[in-house]
Amino acid sequence: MALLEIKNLHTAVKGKEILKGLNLKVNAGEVHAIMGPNGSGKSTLTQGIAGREGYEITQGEVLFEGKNLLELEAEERARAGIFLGFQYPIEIPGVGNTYFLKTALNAIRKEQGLSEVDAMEFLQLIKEKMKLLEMDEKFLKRNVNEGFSGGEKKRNEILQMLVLEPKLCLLDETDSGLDIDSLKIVASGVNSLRNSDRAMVLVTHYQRLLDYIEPDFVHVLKDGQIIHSGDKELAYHLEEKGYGWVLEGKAS
Amino acid sequence: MTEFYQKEFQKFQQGVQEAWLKPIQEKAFASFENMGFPTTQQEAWKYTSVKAIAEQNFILPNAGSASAASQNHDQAQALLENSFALVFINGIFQPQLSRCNDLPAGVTILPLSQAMIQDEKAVQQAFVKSSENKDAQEKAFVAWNQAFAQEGAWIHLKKNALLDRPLELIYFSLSNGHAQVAHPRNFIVLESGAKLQVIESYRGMAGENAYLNNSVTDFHVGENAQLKHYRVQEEAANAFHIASLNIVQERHSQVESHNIALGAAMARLELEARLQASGADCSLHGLYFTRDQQHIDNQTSIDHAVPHCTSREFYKGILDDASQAVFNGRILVRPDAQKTVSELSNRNLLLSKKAVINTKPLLEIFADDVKCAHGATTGRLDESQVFYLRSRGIDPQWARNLLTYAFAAESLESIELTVLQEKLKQVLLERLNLKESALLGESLAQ
Ligand SMILES: Nc1ncnc2c1ncn2[C@@H]1O[C@H](COP(=O)(O)OP(=O)(O)OP(=O)(O)O)[C@@H](O)[C@H]1O
Ligand SMILES: [Mg+2]
Repeated sequence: MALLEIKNLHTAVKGKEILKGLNLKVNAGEVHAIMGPNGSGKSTLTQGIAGREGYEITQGEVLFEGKNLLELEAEERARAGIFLGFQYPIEIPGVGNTYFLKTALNAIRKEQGLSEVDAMEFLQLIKEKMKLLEMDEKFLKRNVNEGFSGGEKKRNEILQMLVLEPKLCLLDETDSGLDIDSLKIVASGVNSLRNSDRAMVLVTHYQRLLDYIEPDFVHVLKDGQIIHSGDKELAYHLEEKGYGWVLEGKAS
Repeated sequence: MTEFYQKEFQKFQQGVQEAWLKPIQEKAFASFENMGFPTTQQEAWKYTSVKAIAEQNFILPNAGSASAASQNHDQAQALLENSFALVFINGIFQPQLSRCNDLPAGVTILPLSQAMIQDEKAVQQAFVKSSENKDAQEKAFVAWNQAFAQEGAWIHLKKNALLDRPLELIYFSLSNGHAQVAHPRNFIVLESGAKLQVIESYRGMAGENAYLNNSVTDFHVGENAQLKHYRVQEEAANAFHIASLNIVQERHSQVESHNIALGAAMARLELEARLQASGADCSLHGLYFTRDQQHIDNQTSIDHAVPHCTSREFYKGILDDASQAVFNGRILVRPDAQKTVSELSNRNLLLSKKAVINTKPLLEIFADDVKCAHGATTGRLDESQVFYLRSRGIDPQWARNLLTYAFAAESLESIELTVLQEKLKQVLLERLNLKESALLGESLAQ
């Protein structure tokens, strides 16, 4: 059974059809990269899987571990093991980063029948993960993403992912806005989570990311559909030749 | 109304010992009678109806029953451990719960009833002055208070006197069988260079009959004096609270006034700060949080009468259920008040479709060389923030409560008195069913 299976997904946002019959199958242990032009529907796909309201599914199905995902609320999906690293992480003034993440972890642990972690245990855990991401401990005291630089926000998303240890990691342009050193650090953080039970879907515009996180598959999403899939070599070709090449290639 | 209160007034006057006070109160009662209760026809009361007050006959509390019913009541205790405190129950002074011994030199803290004996001349002057004030002639509730005033706080800090610990004025009310009214009257004077932190707190327990607190507080803040004022209104859910707060500021005085309104079925605070000598600085902070059918009205006015004064005003409101709030913030810059710097903002968060806010920030500027800004916003919770929290597994109602808390707590951050800030945060957390207190990363990270 696939971890995630999307069949003929049609999604409309504010009455406008964005995803137009998208198919994707992701097995545990795999890393998939999704590339595609601006506005093609990549974020609509990831946000839709995470359960954002306002993304109306007009047709198709999405199965997570064989179960209908579309019946679940956003928080239920998170507790089931889905994590979305936002393209634009949200700032939440007045809510402490540490408190937020501890609450999230405990909500997920509760679902899994595990006991709550207390403040001390949590602090130890988060500090360990922060070290891995070379994040300054001052971020513990900051409010969620408030006043973070673009790169710091992305690193904070990965920190959350490392703490929550989801089964399915959807990373929407996590590499955008990262300098080359940060990219390496973030990539090694992501790689540290790679294992045979977990899958990753990376949305990116740059082949560079895939040098550090090697994908098993690369898909091209255009105009609401996956129009081409291949292995990691595909990313090089795309970088060189652009998306037009895929279309022509298909036509010939 | 008239006949009932006429009788009440006659009864009341029989108990008044001070000959000088009688004519003042007679005059005030006549004004009150003349004006009657305000109606929504009057511009200043357009959005706040006092019909529920006008339709009832409120009796004056009876000393015996009030203290008997409420001795050792938890909520009537001082909030802080080491504060000075004057405690009143149903408007009646409670010496056994109060703490005003070992005062520093130059500081007087007395219940008004006591001050009338000990400090009679000064009290008389204060009453005469307030009866000449237009409020007593133009505002029915102020006149009503003046007519029946007999108890409250009498605070005087002489030149350079400093109260090293906060002072709490606690008005605890509980109804005991009748609709009751108390008319707290507070006179607070800081002579030049004096410093005071004062908490004015109104709490109560709901009984079968609603009670009304009709309070008037006057501050005079002398040259270079510093006042920090925290007003916390947590009246019982079915209570009425009408209050008038006047602040007069002299040269280079600094005033910070926090006004937190959480309780009462209907509450209104009219706050007026008059900056009448240059260099005066005034900060007003407000937070109101209404739910159910509550109605909370804040009327503020900062009067810049002279040049080189600064003021700022930040009010935040949260409205839930079918509650209503009114915010009327006026900044008046008179023709002479050049170089005024002033800003005013009112931000509202609506948690329910049925909640209604009427907000009107108003700049009236008659000088040309000034820097003034004002703005009001009304919005709902940011759904993208809610989604972000939910996408991490957090319960949606909890997420909403947390975001609401964050919105409210921000306005408490400026409260320097940390014990009070923490207490108020606890009140909000409880109201929002957020039990944990370690909301800020700080407390967890240390
Ligand atoms: N809330 C919305 N209201 C209206 N249109 C929307 C909304 N959300 C997405 N869209 C539209 O849907 C289309 C797909 O957007 P989406 O964000 O999924 O693209 P993307 O592939 O992630 O692009 P990018 O590479 O720029 O991030 C765009 O045309 C966008 O304008
Ligand atoms: Mg996108």
